[in-house]
Amino acid sequence: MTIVQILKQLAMEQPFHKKKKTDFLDVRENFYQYGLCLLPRSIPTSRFSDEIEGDWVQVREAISEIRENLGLSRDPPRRLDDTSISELRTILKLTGFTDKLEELKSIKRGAK
Amino acid sequence: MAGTPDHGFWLFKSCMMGIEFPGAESSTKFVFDKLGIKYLDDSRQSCCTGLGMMVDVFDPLTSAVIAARNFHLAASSGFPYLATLCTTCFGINKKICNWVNENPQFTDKIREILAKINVQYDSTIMKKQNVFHVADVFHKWKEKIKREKIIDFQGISIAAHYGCHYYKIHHSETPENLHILEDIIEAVGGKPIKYYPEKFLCCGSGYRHRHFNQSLANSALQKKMDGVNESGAEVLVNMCPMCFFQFDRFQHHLEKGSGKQYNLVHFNVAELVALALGADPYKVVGIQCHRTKVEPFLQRILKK
Repeated sequence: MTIVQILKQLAMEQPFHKKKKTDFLDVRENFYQYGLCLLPRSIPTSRFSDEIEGDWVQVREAISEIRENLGLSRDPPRRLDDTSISELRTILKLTGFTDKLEELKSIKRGAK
Repeated sequence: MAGTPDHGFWLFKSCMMGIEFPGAESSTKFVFDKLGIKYLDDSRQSCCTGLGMMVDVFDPLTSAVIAARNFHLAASSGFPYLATLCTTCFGINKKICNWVNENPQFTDKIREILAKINVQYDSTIMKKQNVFHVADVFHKWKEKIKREKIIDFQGISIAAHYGCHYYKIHHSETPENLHILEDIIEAVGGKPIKYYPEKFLCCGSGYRHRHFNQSLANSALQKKMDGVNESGAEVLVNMCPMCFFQFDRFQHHLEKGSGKQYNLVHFNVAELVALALGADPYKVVGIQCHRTKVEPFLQRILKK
């Protein structure tokens, strides 16, 4: 681990940065729930629809059907089996990830 | 990437590609099947956590254990080489291998945690030499692509964009000039733009920037697109879902704001190769997911 990584980790534990991290809380929650960082809701169409325009919103709404037609799993981006999810949750608990998730959730609740 | 094997790839699917450009995933499978490349699409694969690390919501230990689980699944299935669809998956898996191999204290902790899910950890499987991008695999098979292509991109000027998380790793591993995308463009019959201004400039997405610092994301994108435009390219080929999102989704917005016309067509490298090998544009390549329309370009190519 480099000195930059250590300093960054220390900085990220400061209250201001912890609050900033809640901006991306869903990435953490998605991984805990599904073993995936991004789900369609992580890139909300409302955030970009004015800039992107066109039929992007409609494509996103039909993404499960499009994936199925392409021969891929319907759930975007995919579904992990229950055993895999259980394994991942065990790992997340043992690395302290789950406790930090709860901490960030409570910071977010407090900020509201 | 030097030393790319022919077979034995564990397809490392991307969360963002699966949501925004699923056609790149189906195109990769189409190309692998068409060329006879042996691979496994394993439903037990989790995300790489790279995106979480980029926005500081994952710590290195968690990412390392998650990566070790994926490496274990790949090796124990007999498909030990990770073939990633995304440059962030590529970069983060390589980086984690470095951390684990350079910090033995990680190894004991990973072993202890994996034992709780009945996985016997073997540190020798976490080798950065086992991580490839699907573009590396296509490059290895470029002669067969050249022989078996059905659609020829002859006369089409195509520029390449590698993505930070690929080329930074490439340059840290070898002094060799990066040319795999240009070689693949040649294999499909296209005319590669070997150099253009801002060739290695970031697309400007950075995930966090696109969400929370949009003016920075847009100004970097404009600089990049101006460079591509100057080169005379008609097509920009990428190998990263975030770069793809940035180019394809925001070209129109950029044109409206700047008054410039870029008129570029954007493809992921898997889509380009799949099209060359005769894949259906809608049923395999998924061009209906592109914001910047490719139909007029394809109609012109198919008429040749």
